[in-house]
Amino acid sequence: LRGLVVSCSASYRVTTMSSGDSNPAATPIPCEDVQGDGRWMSMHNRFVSDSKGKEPDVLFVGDSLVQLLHEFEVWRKLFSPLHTLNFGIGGDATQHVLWRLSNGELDHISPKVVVVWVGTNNHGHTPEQICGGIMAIIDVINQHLSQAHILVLGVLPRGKSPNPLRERNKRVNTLVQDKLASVCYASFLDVDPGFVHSDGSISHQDLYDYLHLTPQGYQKVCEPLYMRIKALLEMHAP
Amino acid sequence: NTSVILANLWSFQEDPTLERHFKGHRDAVTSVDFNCNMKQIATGSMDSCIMIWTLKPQMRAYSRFVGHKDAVMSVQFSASGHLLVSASRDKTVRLWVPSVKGESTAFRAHTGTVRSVNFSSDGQTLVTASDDKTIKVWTVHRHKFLFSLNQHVNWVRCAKFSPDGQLIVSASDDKTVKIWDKNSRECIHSFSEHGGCVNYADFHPSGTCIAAAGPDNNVKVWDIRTTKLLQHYQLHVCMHGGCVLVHNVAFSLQVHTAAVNALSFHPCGNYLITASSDSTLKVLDLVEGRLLYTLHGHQGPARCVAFSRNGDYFASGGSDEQVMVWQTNFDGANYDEVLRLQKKEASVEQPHGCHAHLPAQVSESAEPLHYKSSSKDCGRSGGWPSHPSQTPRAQSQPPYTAPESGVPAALTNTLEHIVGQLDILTQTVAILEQRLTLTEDKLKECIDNQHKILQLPHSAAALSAISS
Repeated sequence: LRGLVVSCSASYRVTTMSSGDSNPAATPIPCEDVQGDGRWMSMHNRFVSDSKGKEPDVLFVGDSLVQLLHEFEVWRKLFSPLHTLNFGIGGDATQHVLWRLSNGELDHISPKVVVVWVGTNNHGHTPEQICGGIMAIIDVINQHLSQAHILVLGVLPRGKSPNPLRERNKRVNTLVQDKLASVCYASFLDVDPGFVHSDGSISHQDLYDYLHLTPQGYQKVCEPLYMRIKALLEMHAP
Repeated sequence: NTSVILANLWSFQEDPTLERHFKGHRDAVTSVDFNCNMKQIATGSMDSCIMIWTLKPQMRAYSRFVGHKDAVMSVQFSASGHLLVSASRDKTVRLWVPSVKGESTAFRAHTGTVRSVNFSSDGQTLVTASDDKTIKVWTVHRHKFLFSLNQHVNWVRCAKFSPDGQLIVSASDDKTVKIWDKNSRECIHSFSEHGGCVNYADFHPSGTCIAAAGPDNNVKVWDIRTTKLLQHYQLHVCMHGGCVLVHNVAFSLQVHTAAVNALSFHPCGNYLITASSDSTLKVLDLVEGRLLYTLHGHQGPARCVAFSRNGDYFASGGSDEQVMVWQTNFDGANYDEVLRLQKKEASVEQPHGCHAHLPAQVSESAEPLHYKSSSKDCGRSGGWPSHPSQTPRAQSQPPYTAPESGVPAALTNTLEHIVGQLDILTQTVAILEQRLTLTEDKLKECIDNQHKILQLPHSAAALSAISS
């Protein structure tokens, strides 16, 4: 029943979502091992085995913004005490997260809240496709964890100056927020505290490479996020 | 024969042996306890069942108790053995009669998973700990709620009564270990474990100190009277492709860390056994302050461990669904026996020119000049709490009688101890002296041989070629 891949060849259990075949962002696929050290699969396997015997109330899943959060003090102070697991992998796009969640990462845990933060790495996809990818992720989570509330975080702006990716991300957020209005087990949270200044620039003090967050940047993002998660957990309590 | 003497000196301490190996649970084993009747072991599991295993081979091997609707987190026999209590993720506590029928009554104890339940030694009260951050105390009879202790701010993993029933110790994910006064219902002290969540804590049999199992494979022993940290064991594990190297040096580089999930004091108070997520059980010598044994057997995290009421056995359970029962053995050696053995061996005439060598078998971390007292002799100088042992072994010893001069018995005991230690030291020095003499003889022999070789014509030329 496990779809653990030992070598490069993929012998995996896949649950293809609805009409996902026509949307590359919603078609589960593992990340290609371009560099040749198998790190992505090692991380995935570690997440699967780590999840056995852990009892997280909260799960974070997504790309580098999720992964790096784990290394900052704010994780230890705010999220660790909530019994939180971190399944973030840098570089992941929606289709990679979709594959991971369909291949073991949700099999052994029943968190009350799942935080999804992904979309900025979906290069070459349209906002509609990326939104479709995020919705497919929500579907998979709901199928595995019918009791969990799924919190989708807005994709952050990027780049020092205005650029097409900012427009793309903004459009993704609008589409996702729209779709989730009619879903009771999932909700959208815009965690952008206003990184784009009035002159259209983003400061390296918030996003040190105009993509990834500094400790100060995480602090601004995590406070409202933490409040929302706590509120959701309290709702879940008997 | 020197090697025989040496072998005896090192091997009088017997290693623990695996006695029984039970399979039957369908998920991780979370908790284990011995019945004082020494015939039964109870285990709780994530599979929601409790199993009672029988140690006597002739009897039916086990009974399975079904009733909880979710994982069983903790089980314990009452001191009399007439009752078994269990705590579950289904938020209830159940009291069972451990018979074939397995009748039970249940009561809802908390608003979250109940992680731990513990009888007071008089069997009249229960203390429970829960994910709902509270600790609650109940009567056993009709499970009446008495009061709750509410200072933890995260899941409480474990709560235990002190041996005299006056105090409670609790361990929590809020990284503290708290001591509570059962009568005033106040928290009298809070120990901080900065490294992370504390999975387990328990009282030493003397009631004067507690041990707490922390993250990063560490165990701390605190004196609750002075609130000082007495001992800190950092049990690192370094993994290299399946082969496990064990270090117990506090400053070694941590490559792989694991949590200590549970611990248990030997009833005599001199040993502590721990169960770790790295799959091993570790036996700590609390008097010498060091690791004594590392036991491998579980495949996957070891979740629980408990000594039997008289310390002759211990049992462990793991994520691999297995229950292992071990015979302790290492608590049995008596220095009187060792001395008698030494005197007998030393009287044998030593043949000339025999070569002493270290015996090949050395117990995992045993060192020379080391001996273990019997479980009875717990009154060591140095402040380690002593505990009057009730073990059968102790009872077979002739009782100490106070000398007529009025010197206190405790002082006499300590002095006899010290004298015994000096005896062994003296004998070991004598053995070392013999070994040194033999080594000197051998060296002289080698030098003589070398002279003979040098007198041969061609070898002198070869030697001068080398030296130039």
